[in-house]
Amino acid sequence: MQAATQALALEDATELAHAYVHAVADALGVQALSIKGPAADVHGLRAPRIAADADVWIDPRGFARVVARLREAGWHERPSISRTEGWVEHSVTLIRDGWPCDLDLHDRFPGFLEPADAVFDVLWRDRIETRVAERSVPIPSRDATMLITALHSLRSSALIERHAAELDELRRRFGTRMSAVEREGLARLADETGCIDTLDGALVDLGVPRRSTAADDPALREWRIRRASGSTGSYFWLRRLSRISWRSWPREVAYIVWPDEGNLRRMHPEIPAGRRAAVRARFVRLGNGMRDAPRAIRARLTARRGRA
Amino acid sequence: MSGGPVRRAAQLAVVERDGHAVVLDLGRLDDPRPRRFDGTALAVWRAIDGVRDRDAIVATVAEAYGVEEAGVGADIDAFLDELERLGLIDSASSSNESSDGRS
Repeated sequence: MQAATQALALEDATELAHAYVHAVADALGVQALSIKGPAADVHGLRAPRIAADADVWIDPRGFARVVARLREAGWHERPSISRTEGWVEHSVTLIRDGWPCDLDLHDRFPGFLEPADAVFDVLWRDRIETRVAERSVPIPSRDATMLITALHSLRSSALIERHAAELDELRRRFGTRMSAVEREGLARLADETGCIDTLDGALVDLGVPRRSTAADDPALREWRIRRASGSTGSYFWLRRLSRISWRSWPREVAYIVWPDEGNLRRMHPEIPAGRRAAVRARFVRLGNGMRDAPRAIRARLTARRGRA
Repeated sequence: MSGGPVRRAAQLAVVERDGHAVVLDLGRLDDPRPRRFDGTALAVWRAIDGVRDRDAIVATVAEAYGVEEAGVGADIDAFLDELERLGLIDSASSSNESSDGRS
């Protein structure tokens, strides 16, 4: 009879990870909300399923302190170029030996266009408490969770079937079942957090009358390009090229098309060891890029023409 | 034993499903090492309800497995010691000594 330390299952780990991140944030006096999995399950937004990571939205004003504290405790960033290269600007993914799940820590969420602090404050104001791993854990309200789910699904639903299915499920579960008061509450929250326009037709599908708040907001334009291109690697590379001087393009394009082995493995830690595997992975990556690039280019050109 | 109820520590996160429990001590943020209990360890863990004392835990587990209390007492004492060392039960609530002087 003993307390074993091995064989931590993914479903157990993600629940414990939520409780753990909240304990760390609480110790620092930083507010945090568990999002996606536990919130979507509690509010009945989807059929329960095992999450591969624990998503926690941390007050942006305390985000750096929480991440630093977790690093002190032995967590480290998953090797990837995505954040350093500007692919992901809204979250940090931390891992630790012995833990099969990631900690996916957000300081904002793509698609909410109001300032990150203000959005967090609204979500915190409307939070509810639930039990995860026998601990009290704050999660966003049902309306906020619907917005998060819809935004998460929308940004890549053009290409990722699972995300499109999540959005369909949301429509199916709530599209015709919300009262006028509930729909008005959802619209008000979308307005407060700045996602009326980014959610676009998804809100209409949920019974919220179409309305528009923005004129020519660059953040909204970028969101639409991202949606139209399917949030693929090609989208992120094109966005990167659009933000740097054309003089840097040759070096950058070479890096995009045929990265050296070190960078390739940082982007794709799943590649097996060996030079041959790395060469094969480069060709696969190149093929994917050539498949996705036309869509991403089209989305960016369409947005540019729309502005002209 | 002191005779008092055995209590789980306050700062625990616990997941129990599919015949096992996994426990994480949130008081040790620098050492987040979950502990897994299966089989008899799980039976003991479940019996630690903040009401039962050591003898009642032994009786509960012995009954569940259909064995004599004397046959499991020493193992359960050792397990309670381990839980106390790991900080998973309150130190004041466990002891090696049983009420009838067994150790």
